Amino acid sequence: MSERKDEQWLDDQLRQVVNGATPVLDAEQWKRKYSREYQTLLSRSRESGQPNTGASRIVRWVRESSIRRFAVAAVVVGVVGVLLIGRLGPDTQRPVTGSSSIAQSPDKMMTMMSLQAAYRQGGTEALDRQFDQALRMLGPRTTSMSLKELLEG
Amino acid sequence: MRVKKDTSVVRVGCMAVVLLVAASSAFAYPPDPDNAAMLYYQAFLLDKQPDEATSQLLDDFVKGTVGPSDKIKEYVQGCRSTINYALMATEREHCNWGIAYSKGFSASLPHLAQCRRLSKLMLADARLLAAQGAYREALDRCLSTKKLAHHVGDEIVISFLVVHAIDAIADDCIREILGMMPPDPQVLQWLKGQLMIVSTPQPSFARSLKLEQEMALDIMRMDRLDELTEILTGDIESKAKGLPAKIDEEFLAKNREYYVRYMTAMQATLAAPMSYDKKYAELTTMLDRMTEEAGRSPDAVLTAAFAPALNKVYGIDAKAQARANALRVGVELLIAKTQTGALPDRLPANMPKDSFSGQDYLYEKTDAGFVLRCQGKDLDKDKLYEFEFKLK
Repeated sequence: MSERKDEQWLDDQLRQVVNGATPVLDAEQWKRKYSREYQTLLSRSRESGQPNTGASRIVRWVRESSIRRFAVAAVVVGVVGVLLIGRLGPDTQRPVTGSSSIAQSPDKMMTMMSLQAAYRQGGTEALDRQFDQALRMLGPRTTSMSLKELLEG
Repeated sequence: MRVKKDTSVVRVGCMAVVLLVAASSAFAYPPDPDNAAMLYYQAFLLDKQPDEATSQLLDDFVKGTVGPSDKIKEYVQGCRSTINYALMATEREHCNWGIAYSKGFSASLPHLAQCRRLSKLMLADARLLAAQGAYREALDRCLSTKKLAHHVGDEIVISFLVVHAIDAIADDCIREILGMMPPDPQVLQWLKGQLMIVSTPQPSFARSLKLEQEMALDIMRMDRLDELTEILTGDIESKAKGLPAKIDEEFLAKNREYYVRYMTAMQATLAAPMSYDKKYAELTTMLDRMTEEAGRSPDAVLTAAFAPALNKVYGIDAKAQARANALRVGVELLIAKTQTGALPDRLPANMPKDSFSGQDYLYEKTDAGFVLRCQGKDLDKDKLYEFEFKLK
């Protein structure tokens, strides 16, 4: 993690990712929090439909049952979650499957923690790949330097 | 009389000057470092990073899938200074890389990548020497690579794994060179002795666990919460499920206790006099139990994150032993062939055993030479290993 986050935010993030419990959707709270995105979705569905078209029949069908309403809300949440990726930033969408060598700086790739993670993910082959990648970025590189360059102040 | 006296004075004076010059030149240079790591670091600094194509070619050449080429020869020759400094380093007994272990799991280990690369360079040099018919020098280069492997050290598990990775390619290279050279009893006897020397002492899995255990316990503290969180959030999907809403001292204390109990039990199993398959099964059972407990109890969460998969590492150690023992048996058989003119029909007595079964290797003569097969399977990979020796 490159940024310092407070514990509460972290706890919430961790709970979302690792808690095995089934999430309970508070649709009204969600609608209040993402009102703009909700209105966008609603206006699109209004534009596409006539009063007696298939779309309005579907909407009436959904409204008839609370279970159907929650199911549709869950789908909307999923879609809006995708739309919000850019807004929230890459950190919350970063894969949690272990340190990705691509995402790390080369010096981080050489820490014990990172090397152990690479080994756990893919054994000696993954370790070698991480070594090669880090060496390509880190060097060393032989540099030729004239005596003048070496001595100039 | 005066002339004689003058001559003697001049003679004594010249001798004094000569002695003074000789004495001063004996102390002119500071000694070369006795810490091999100092020489390895110089080798790393002298190393020329190859482009990707050359790097791939080098890898293939070291594995034996391609033969020597002008490009490889040119590249290896260009790295001559690197190789020379590495060879100097391998002659030193003592190697201290100066790792800042106080940084715990954030400690940088850039020397591991460089050692891995250096080992491939040295083995490429070995194969080129063998291709030119310089078999003893080629084998010497392989033995130096094994010394480099052991210099990597076994203080931590990741180093221990790199030791075995380098040893593996060095042993494979030795086997292939033996298949290229005409039988030479002197070289074989020398190789037999050298293999005993470079293999002593064996890298110790128990030793690598000891330091890692200290580091893991050290990080399970409130004043290292940031570092702990960074490690956990990097590997949380597979490991640290069930974190409490708040990590506090009570949580950490219980996790430390669980971790110590778990690691103590694992290490006791590792040290117990048991067959490979029984030990592997027991380690796997303990690991599975811990993983299952980590899913329902917060006390085991940090153990799941920090404890290495000891059954797998144990398997790697057993495989390394099997390969090393097969090489020693192979050399004995080749020595026997030079003495009698033919390969023996059965293995000589008191040969090193297959580490997977504790039994002798299954020995079979082939058209190309002979094969040594393990009688016990690698339970982690579900594989029976065999080691082929070709004869010229």
